[in-house]
Formats: sequence, structure tokens, C-alpha cells
Amino acid sequence: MTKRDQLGSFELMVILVLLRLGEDAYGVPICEELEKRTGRDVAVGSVYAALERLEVKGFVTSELGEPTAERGGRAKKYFHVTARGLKEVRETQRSLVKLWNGLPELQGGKA
Amino acid sequence: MTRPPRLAKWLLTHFGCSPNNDAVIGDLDERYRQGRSNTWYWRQVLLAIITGAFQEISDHPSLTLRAIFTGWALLLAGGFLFRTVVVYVNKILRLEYRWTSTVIPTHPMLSAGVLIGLSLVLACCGWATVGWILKRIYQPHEKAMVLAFNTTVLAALAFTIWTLDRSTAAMAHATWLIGLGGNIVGVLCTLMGAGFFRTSTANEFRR
Repeated sequence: MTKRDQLGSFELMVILVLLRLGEDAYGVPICEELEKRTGRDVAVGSVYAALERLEVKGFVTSELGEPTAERGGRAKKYFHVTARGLKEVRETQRSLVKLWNGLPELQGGKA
Repeated sequence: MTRPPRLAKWLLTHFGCSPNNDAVIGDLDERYRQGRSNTWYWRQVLLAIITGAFQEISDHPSLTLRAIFTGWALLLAGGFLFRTVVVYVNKILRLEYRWTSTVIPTHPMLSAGVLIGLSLVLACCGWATVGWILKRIYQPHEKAMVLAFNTTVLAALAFTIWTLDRSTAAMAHATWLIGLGGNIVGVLCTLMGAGFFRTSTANEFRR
């Protein structure tokens, strides 16, 4: 696997949110979930930039939904995690857990 | 129903480089109607434009370099042509001035006024042509490419102002001020020449 195919930290966050949201994963709920989970304000443009990279890597697919009046007549774009994306998330999780385990600095939950 | 700031939306519609620009605008509209402020909307729009352009540029670095090189080459060639035309027109106008003044009583500044006006129109046309050519060559990445070129123009201008000798006379400063205004108008003309990217509505499907 080349470096370009690996998951960046923000991409990992986005893909985890996509897995959490399931079928209802489009821009607004993705941003809301990210803000809720991380406690930080999220830029919609950055989320879409990450989603575009994930789509190019083949970890995510997208489809256009229905346009609504509250969106100024613009269609929603739904995102789904592919099997390849899920596999990559599992591999990343394994690597991170291995790196996390046995670090005394991270025990107890206080910095 | 509350409407998001029009200018911000217009900017994102025309300068947003993301292939998902329509979806971004839709999401921003939806969140704005859920009670977000104008400041929030503007911040999101500016970030979306910058992020989109940066993503396009980092995805196509060699194309960006080519676009910047093309833009500067056109600008320098245009500048040379512009200077030649202005000198030529000036020569003609001075001759004409001598002739018209015997027929119509004219203001002594007419020749200079006409020359400045003509120069301005020619310069604007030149900048607009650069924008138009860049747009034609670098479709479907034209937005990011024209924005990258314009950034280098503004960076060059900022560098020139920064290195300006502060001890020079007020007249020199005035000249630089005119240069600054001219370059900003030039950048705007380049964007106009690129038609404010109005024709590229197929962004959604380009990847």
C-alpha cells in the first residue's frame, strides 16, 4: 500500500462518522456528528475535501439524493463506506491499538 | 425563510473549486437556516474556497506550475504588445491633436486623457484575455488554475511594495499606488475574462 492510500487522521474521523451514520450520511449530519464527537467547529469545505480524497482512494462511494427547498433546491450527496474502506479502517485500528498499548503516559486518561 | 448572505453565496458558486461545490452550498444553506450566523456563513465560504483550491492545486502540481508559467508568459507578452501599441497611439494622437485643435477648440489635456483612457481599456482587455486563455486551456481545473495564477500576481505585487524604498519621493509612491490599483483591477479583469467560471457547471461529474 502506498502512502497516498493510507488514512489521514481527519479522514479516519470522517470515515468513522460515516460508519456511525449509516444510510443518512450526507454533509450536514456528518459535520454535526464530527462537531458533537470532537467538540470542535468543523469547516464544511474541509469535510468535503476529506470525502473527495477518500472517494479517490476507493474507501467511499457517493450518490446524489433529493433536492430540498431548505437547501436552496440543491441535492444532498450521500456517502457510503466501501468494503475496501472498512478493511482499511480495521487495519488502522489494529495498528493504532498496538501503538497505544503499554504506554504509561496514556494510562489513567489524564494528560 | 432566512436567506444566507448573497455575496458570500455568489463567491462560493463562482470560485468554489470542489467537485462537490453544489453539495457544499446546499449544506451551508441548510445549516444557515438552522440558525447559524452570517459570520459563520462567511467563514465557511472562505474556507471552502481556499480548501477547494488548495486540494485541486495539490492534486495537480505540474498543471498548476504550467498554468502559472502560461499566465506570466501571456502577461509579459501582453505587456510588451501593450507598450508598443500605447507608444504608437500616442504618436498618432499627438499628430491628430495638432490637426483637431485647428478645427475644434480642445482642452490641452485631451490627448493625455484619451491616452490614459485607452491604456486602461487596453490593459483591462489584456488581463481579461489572459483569464480567458487560462480558462480555455486548463478546463476542467480552470478555477484553481486561474486562482493560483492570480495569487502569484498578488504575491509579486506584495513583494514589490514590501521592497519599495521608503525614502523615495511622494511621486514615486503615487506611481506605486497606481500600480497597486492597476494590478488589483487586473486580477479582477482576469477573473472576468474567465467568465467568473460561469460555464463550468459540470463540476459534479468531472471525476
